[in-house]
Parts: sequence; structure tokens; C-alpha cells
Amino acid sequence: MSLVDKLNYYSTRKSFKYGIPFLIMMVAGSFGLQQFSNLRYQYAKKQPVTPEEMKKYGVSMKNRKDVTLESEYDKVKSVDIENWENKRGPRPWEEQEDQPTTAKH
Amino acid sequence: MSTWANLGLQDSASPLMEQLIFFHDHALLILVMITVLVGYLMFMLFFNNYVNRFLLHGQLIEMIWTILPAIILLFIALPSLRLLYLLDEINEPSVTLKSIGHQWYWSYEYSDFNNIEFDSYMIPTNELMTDGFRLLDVDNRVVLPMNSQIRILVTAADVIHSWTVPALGVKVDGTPGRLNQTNFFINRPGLFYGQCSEICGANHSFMPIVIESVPVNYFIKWISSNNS
Repeated sequence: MSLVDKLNYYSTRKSFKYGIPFLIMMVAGSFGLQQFSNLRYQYAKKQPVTPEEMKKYGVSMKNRKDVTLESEYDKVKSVDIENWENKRGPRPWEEQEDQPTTAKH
Repeated sequence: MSTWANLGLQDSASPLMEQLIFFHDHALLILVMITVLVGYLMFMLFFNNYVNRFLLHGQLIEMIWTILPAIILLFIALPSLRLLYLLDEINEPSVTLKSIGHQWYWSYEYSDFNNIEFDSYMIPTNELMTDGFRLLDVDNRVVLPMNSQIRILVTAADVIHSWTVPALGVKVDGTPGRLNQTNFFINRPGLFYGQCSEICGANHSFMPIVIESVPVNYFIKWISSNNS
């Protein structure tokens, strides 16, 4: 049986007549749908705040690679955490303000 | 922010909070189903006729009430794990904000820019405008761009604090000598309120957090006016 005969034989089957167009539609359809969702992914990945963009407005922004957890931790190390006092609130018999305030230093 | 008689979670302002609310509702629904079933069984005990008084063992029912709870637990555990790893993911951030807890105020630093640092104190009730929110409004709000990945780094200078904004699904402890990080993505403009969530002393309740979410061009304007 030649290839053409085989093709003729299978083409009469329902799985071929309906299955192949269905599979083609599924694969081609995903490419078609891609056109619709393209816009969304194009803009979702857009990072609006960039050093280049900020430069236009005359603001210097550090490069993304320069601001890391490690570099920020180095800065945090300089915060004096040894000298602090446990500030207490007023006792009932002490002079008490009517409003709770957080007094600025 | 939380409004009058709000028993549920606050409206979400970030995709992660949306997921947290979905999971909360999902888990609550399973709890309701179990409560109804157990309640029904207990209620029906009052009306039985001692049908199984001489029953010694029932392998089938033992199997069912061992395996069924395990399956129900799986339905809670798997979405919970998924959410746990989603929350843990750090995407490439557009803006990095550093927040340092003090007794009793927050100080902020925009690490990407030079010299943008400020303290954020609660506005005392006697100085509050008539449209202000008591114990929630601050003198300097944190301005952040919407639709951008934001990384928040939290630490403290004296005692342990916790930087929390419920609408964004963010809660990070600020511990002296440690730098904790998480990230969030605000998907709408607005004011989002939070409070310190780790008992930190006498004025723990009076160090709120206010985030002002603005479109990117307004954020750039704000930065450029503060940078000079």
C-alpha cells in the first residue's frame, strides 16, 4: 500500500476528518490569541521608574545593581543600636496629658 | 483602611492581598462545611434509638473518618503552600524603601535617591484637621508609585517594631541589627493605613504608617521636589 493509498484510507475516518482540523485550530489558535495578550505583557514588564527616566527630570537615581540588600545592610550597621532607653509612659499618679502624643525630639 | 463595623479583611490594594483574601475565604468555607456536618451529627445524637448499642468495631467507618480529614487538610495545605512561596518571591524592584522603627515613630529612606529621608510622626488629636483620621494620620506620608514593584527593607534602632499595611498584605518585623525585606505591588492609587504591630512600649499605638500611592509621574514630581 502506497503512501497515497494510506492517506486515502485514513482520510475517511472521523478521527482524521475532525481530529486534524481540531488539532490545527488548537495550535494555530494559541498563536492567534498571542496577538491579543501581547500588549498586556509588553506593558506589564515596563518598569516606569528607571535611572534613565529620572535623569530627564534632573533627579539622580542610583543604579539598580548598586542598591542591594547587602549594601543597605552596611548602612544599617552604622545605626547605633547599643544606646537606647526603654521609655516608659506616665503612671496614673503622675501628671498625665489628656492626649496621647509622640513628642518629637 | 478599616472602617466602621468592618469584621472582614480590608479591601486589597495589591495582587498578593487579593490572593490572601481568596485563601481566607476558601479556608473559611471548608471550616463552615465541617462545622455544619459535625453540628448536624451532634444534634442528631439527641434523636437516635441506640441502633448500634452492641457495635464493637467498624473498619469501614474508621477508614473513612481517617482518610477524609486527611484529604480535606490537603485542600487547605496545598493552596497555603502556594501562597507562602508567592509571598516569599522577590521580584526585581523599581523602588527600594527603607523603614527604621524608633520609639515611637518611623523614619524612612528612599535608598535609590540621595538625601530623601524623613521621620513620620502621628498627628496628635489636638492638632488634627477635622477631616483627619485620629491615631492614624501622620505628618509625613510615604509616597510610592503605583504599578511598580517596591522593595521594603525594615529595621529598628531601639526595640522591636513591626511595619504593617493590611491593605497591601505586608507585615515585616523591624529588629535592631537585622534588615528584613519583602516586596509589594500597589495596583491602585489611594491612602493605605497601617500601625506598628509589635508591642514596642508606651506609645506603641501611636506610631501609624501611611502610604500615599500615586501615579508614576506624580511620584517623579514628588521626588524631584524633595531631592533639591
